Amino acid sequence: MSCLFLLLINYLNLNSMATKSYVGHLSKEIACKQGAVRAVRFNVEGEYCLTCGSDKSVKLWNPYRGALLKTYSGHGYEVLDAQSSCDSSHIVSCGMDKTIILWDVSTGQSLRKYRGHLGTVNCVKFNEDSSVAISGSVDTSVRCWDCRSKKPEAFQIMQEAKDSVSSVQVTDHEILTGSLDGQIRRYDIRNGQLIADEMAQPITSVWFTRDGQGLLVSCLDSTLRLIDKDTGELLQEYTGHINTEYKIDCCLDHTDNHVISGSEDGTVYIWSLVEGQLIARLEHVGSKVVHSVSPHPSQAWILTAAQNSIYLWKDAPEDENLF
Amino acid sequence: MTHWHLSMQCFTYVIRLICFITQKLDDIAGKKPIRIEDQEVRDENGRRRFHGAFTGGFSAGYYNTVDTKEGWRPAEFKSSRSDRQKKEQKPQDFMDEEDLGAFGIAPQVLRAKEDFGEGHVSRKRLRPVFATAGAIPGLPALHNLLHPVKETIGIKLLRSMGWKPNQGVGERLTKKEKKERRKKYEETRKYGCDLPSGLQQREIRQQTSDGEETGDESDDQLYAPDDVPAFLVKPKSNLFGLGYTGLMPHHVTASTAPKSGFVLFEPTLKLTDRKKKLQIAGQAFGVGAFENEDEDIYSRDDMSQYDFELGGAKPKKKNSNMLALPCSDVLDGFVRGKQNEPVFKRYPPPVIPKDFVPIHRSLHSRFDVKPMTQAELSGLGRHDLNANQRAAILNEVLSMPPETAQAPAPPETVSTPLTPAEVVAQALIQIKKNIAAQQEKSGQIVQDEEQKVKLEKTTAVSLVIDPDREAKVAKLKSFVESSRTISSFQPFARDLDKQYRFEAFCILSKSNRLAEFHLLQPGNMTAWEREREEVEFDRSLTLYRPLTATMQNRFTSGGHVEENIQGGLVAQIESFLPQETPQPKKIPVVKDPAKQAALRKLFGQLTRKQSQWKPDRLLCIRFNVPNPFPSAGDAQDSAKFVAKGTSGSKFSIFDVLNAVPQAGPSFMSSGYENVPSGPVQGPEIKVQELEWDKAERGELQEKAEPDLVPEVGPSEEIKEEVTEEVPYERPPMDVFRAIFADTDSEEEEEEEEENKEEEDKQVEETKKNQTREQPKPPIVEEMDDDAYGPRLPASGSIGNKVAVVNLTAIQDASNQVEWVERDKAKKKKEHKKDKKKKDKKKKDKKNKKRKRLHSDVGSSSSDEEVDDMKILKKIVALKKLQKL
Repeated sequence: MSCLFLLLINYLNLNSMATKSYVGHLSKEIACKQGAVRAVRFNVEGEYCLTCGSDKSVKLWNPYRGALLKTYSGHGYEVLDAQSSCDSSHIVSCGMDKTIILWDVSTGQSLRKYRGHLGTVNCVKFNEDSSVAISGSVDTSVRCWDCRSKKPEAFQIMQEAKDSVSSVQVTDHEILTGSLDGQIRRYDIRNGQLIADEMAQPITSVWFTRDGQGLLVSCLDSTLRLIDKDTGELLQEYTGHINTEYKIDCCLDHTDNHVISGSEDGTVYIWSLVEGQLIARLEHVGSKVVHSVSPHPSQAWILTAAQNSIYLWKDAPEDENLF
Repeated sequence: MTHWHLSMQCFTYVIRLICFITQKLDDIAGKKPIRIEDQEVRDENGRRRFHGAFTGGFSAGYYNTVDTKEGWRPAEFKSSRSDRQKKEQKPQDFMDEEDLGAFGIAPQVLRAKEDFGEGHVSRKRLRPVFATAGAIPGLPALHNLLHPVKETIGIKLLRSMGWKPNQGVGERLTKKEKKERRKKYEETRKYGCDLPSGLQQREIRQQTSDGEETGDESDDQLYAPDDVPAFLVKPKSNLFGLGYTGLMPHHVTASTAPKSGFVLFEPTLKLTDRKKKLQIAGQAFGVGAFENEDEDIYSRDDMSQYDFELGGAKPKKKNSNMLALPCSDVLDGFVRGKQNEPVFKRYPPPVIPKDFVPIHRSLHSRFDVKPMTQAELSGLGRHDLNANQRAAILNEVLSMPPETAQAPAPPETVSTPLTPAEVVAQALIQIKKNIAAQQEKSGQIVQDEEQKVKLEKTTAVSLVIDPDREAKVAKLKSFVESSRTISSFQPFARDLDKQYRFEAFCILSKSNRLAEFHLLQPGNMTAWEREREEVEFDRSLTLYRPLTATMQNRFTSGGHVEENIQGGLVAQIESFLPQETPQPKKIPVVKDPAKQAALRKLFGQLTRKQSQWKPDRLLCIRFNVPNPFPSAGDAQDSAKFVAKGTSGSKFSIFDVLNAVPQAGPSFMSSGYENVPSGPVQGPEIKVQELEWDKAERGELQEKAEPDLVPEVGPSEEIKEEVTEEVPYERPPMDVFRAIFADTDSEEEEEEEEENKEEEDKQVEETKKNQTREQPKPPIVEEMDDDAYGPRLPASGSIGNKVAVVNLTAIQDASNQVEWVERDKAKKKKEHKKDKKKKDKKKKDKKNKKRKRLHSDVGSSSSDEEVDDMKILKKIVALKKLQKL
């Protein structure tokens, strides 16, 4: 039913928005002062955002006011990814110090420190109810850490990847990983199956469509591919941006109508999902690589990270009294 | 009396008056005088200081009780975990203020610390004493023993007044006066015991020295008075009787002979001065259990009879000699060795007989002596090599002399057995010949490899009888030369000829012409040697190649990276295994078919790989998903369900409806994997289930029960077979358009319809296939085996919900396909429709039949997928209707 509902919403949205062009307005630019910003992530509600810095810190912001709310320091090296829990009470972050840290949002203290990865941890995600943290690492393993108990070891390790795991996505019953060995692997917990799709290109980022039927895959040949989850067939390709070197995030917006990706030319590219046409480019003045992108969960707003700043883009010019 | 009375009256009067006045005064001041009994001493906190007025008052606790206001409470305890700076608790924390006062039990008074003094160094400046330095742990013992001398304040004051140690206090005296005083003192002052003899002597000595000092007397000079002699009493610290000394060690060892007094024991151990050796004597040692009593154990034993060192006694003479030796020839800092180096007897090496041949040939029988072959004779090689060749081996010279130019061995046709002597003689001759030949050829240095080849050719030619063979060899060599590349990898670099043959072998093996390799081998090789060489080459080839292969397997990388690899191991091997034709540009060779397909953008079945993956139990729990691989113990639950279903006399629709989401896992599995068919139950079956009579159902379920166990795990094999056999692919873009594309225009609609029709056809076809191929699947209600938490809404969300919609929507209609068709038909395309309708009807009939046969129709996954689309289409159609 929910699927149907989503499809309906999709359809209606499409009707209303098909003719409307996607134009981004730079609403806010925040210099994070934590070295290079490795990742920027909205929280579940989209009220706050997290930034991961190369100065070993994670920062919590109100991006609309540009206010720094809290700094979480305790990592031993650059922080590469973070996510806040579903109730926004915890943060999980990972980094080049091979650890994953679970933070308490209000006190700023680290509750758990998970050691076990043999290399830099590229990405980490919570599951739906934030009881499990799932991390992907350069050591080609994906590890699941229990956040409820105090067990210090990973309770499940997936070592199918043959190269660094660059990206992880989690749904209610699936874990999707993208690896530099050119395969996306979907671990279906419900069916106990591993479905691997060969992309033949190193994969930097993966994303689920909201209806759970498609997978957006960003490859290092400057191409985004939309893959049908059920059959593994190619639905659409999105090109125009540059992604040959860095781990650049891709995502879909809240309506699943637009494909968003960073690029190595300091621009965020936005395509329409169905036509695959480039709709908009959001120029980041003075930046070379926009490597992290995070869509607002309910608005057509995007947070991007380039160099040591984050940028908030909105679909319409400012109306400031929202937050 | 009256007088007294009067006076009393007067007194009372006065008092009253006074009282009155004071009252008045108080009124003025607004205060009452405090009565004596009301006057209380209170401390600064307002507590009563004294209690018990008659005894002078004492202070006790809290209002004459031992309690306090808050009860007994020590200084507050705070966790030091967060606040590390908190100081430790002291006894003072548990004391009252009174205790700390001047008269309390712990008065706090300013006073000099114990270690405050002249010699005292402040703690800050104290050098840290490293406790670990000594053998005894803790503070060093000596550190505690040796305290700096403290001077009292009195001595300090005296010093400041000009007093010096060893001087008396008082007026200064002349010599005479001093002497008188001393006499007087000695006469009068005698108390207690006599001073110890040592002290007395010292005193006397002092006196005499004083006398000497002041030899020339003059009355003018004044001297400080004599110091009062210190009266030393040795305190008795033990509980023994007076004069008892106990068993002192020196009594036993007698190292210091007692000068006087009584000696209790004869010293048992004697340290004699002359020999510096311990002597055991005395009767301290009894007779042991293992000793014969006859032995003269009480005889004086001398330690000199024992050895204290391992080894024999030292040569004493030498020692004395060493000491006597002049040390002039010994370098500073060196000591002359005490032991002379043993002189080994040296034997000259054995003289090798002149006719010795350093090759051993095992003789199988005395009469079967074969002459030595040329190869064997030259086997060691070192005799045949000249300087140039050795240089070549050592890579000293770039240009190689012809190495293969050995004298062609004569065809060995010796049939008669030779005696060993003859063999040796022949061998010698052979070697001599070889050397002569080498010397001849060393003059001409051939640089070209071609020339070398020619030389080889000549040697070969000389051996070859077959003229064809010559041509063949030439051809082969030219081929080898053409495809030969200089490689840095040379496993047989020691033997250049062999290396050349090895490279040729590589080339030939690449071009599948290995059969011709024997042509390149020199003729003087025996068949066995040839064979062995081939085997050797083959092994080395296979040895080096798989290494690279395994390494490449290890390092998987993106396809485009592989082509760029240059240098390193791969490049080396590449050059070592030369290509037949030099490739100008390498095309990335991707062996993996999945990768090839992905590169050609043929995503789908080719690029997809499915495998079983066992999620951890905890992962399933955390994701709130039933475990796909439940343990055997969970089978009970499902059995229970079945039992409930059969035994229940009332059969309600809710049972089935509830069962639908429970069949989630398998239902979803088929839906998600796009496995067109499988042992899965769809909603239609449930509907039919309603119609069954109970007996039939009971039968079926009984049948199904044994199948349950294998059913629990997803039957992978079956699914895989199915996927192989039914290559059904859903046209993705069309579906996609159906979902997302704008459907306003009429043309698109038509196209869409056509698409749908096609799809429907396909669906039908697949259905047919399934029904044909799949035997009747066992009808089993799959249960949720792990039941934790609330029923998962999402697990069956897509499939189940859609199914429910279907249930209601298609109750009377045979198939939704037709339903959609009819909807379309109302609008247009009547002519087209008629035809198709007939077809559909036929198919519908078939479907009905199938249903009647309880065969699986709606359960196929493709159907469910189609369901989604259908609903969408329905929505589209409804919209259009609204518009119309």
